Amino acid sequence: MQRVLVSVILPVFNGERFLEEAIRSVYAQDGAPIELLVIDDGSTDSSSEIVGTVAPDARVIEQENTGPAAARNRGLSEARGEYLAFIDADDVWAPNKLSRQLHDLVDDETVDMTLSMTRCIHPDGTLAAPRFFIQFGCGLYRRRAFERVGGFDESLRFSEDLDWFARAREIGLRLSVTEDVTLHYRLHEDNLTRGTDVHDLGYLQLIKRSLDRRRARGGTEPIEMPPL
Amino acid sequence: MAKISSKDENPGSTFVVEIRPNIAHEDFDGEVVILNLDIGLYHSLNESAGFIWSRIANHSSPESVVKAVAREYGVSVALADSMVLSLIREIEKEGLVDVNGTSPRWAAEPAENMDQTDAHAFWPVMDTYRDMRHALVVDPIHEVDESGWPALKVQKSTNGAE
Repeated sequence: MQRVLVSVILPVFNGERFLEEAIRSVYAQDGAPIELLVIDDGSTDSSSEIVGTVAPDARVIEQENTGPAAARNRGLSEARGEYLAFIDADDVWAPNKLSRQLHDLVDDETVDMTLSMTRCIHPDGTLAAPRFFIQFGCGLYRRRAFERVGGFDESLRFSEDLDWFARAREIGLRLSVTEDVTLHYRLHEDNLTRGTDVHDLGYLQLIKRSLDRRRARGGTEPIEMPPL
Repeated sequence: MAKISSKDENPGSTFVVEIRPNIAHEDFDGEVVILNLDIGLYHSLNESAGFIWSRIANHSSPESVVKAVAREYGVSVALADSMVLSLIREIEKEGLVDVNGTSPRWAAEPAENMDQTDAHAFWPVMDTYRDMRHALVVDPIHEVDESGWPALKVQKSTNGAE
């Protein structure tokens, strides 16, 4: 079996609109042997046909609709790579994302994951200025990070990635943040949605769980989320 | 000693405490967690502080909160008054509430002649955390619906890049 250096996990649910562009940006990466894992969370559009056409070598795993956290966890359980990366079905990677981030992790064995800046893609196709967001698409992760932290909390609908990073920082995982832009994140509205009751409840749940975990370990010391 | 006054006792010195719209909060089985959505600070209230906060959130008047505290914790009205004023002072200072009307001078210490042991056992405490402020403030791009997947809306025209 060919060695897999990087497993790229792509969860999709009815993502036909931008899926081809997302997949092509993964295959446009320079160098590293990768496997693409597409977790189809019960799509009813042409997502599976697109994958079959654009990425015939991808490993496609189909499951009943359970949500993005469950889809990513399924990807984690199937991944064979030493390093793990994530991309959403409507996002785009920069061409040298993996090579740059692999270099960062190889350069410093103590770092568990490296994150980069993101540029948002407005609905009209224009790019916003680079910013740092806590979300998985901008990172490259050692497998050991997930072995230590665990997977995504499937009970959290809106903040499972922030929750994962909080858990990672609570147990002392090290991460680096670089000024490179490796991810273009697609916005679907010109105004960012924020402040809905269920959205805020997700954050409050995350905070409560983080505090409880820290208390169980003996204290509520700050965990210092990035930017560091 | 400043205290929360009723209109009958001191006309014109009542005040209203209202939670600001940028504040999210939830009672998780007795622990109230509060998040300032604008700056990413979050707070945890102990039991008595959560008791007071919940009544403020339900639009109870400060006077009725004082009476409720006195009943709940079996303390004097004077001590309850100090407890409530102390918390209101702190949550106003942290930008969680607006206090409208004529506010009394805040009680910095428990009322005189109160048993210090009793005061400390029930004193409302709010812990403030700053460690996730960057992540909580700049984490706005979860444009998802209740399923957790991105909600693809009809595209609108924009004025260009950020």
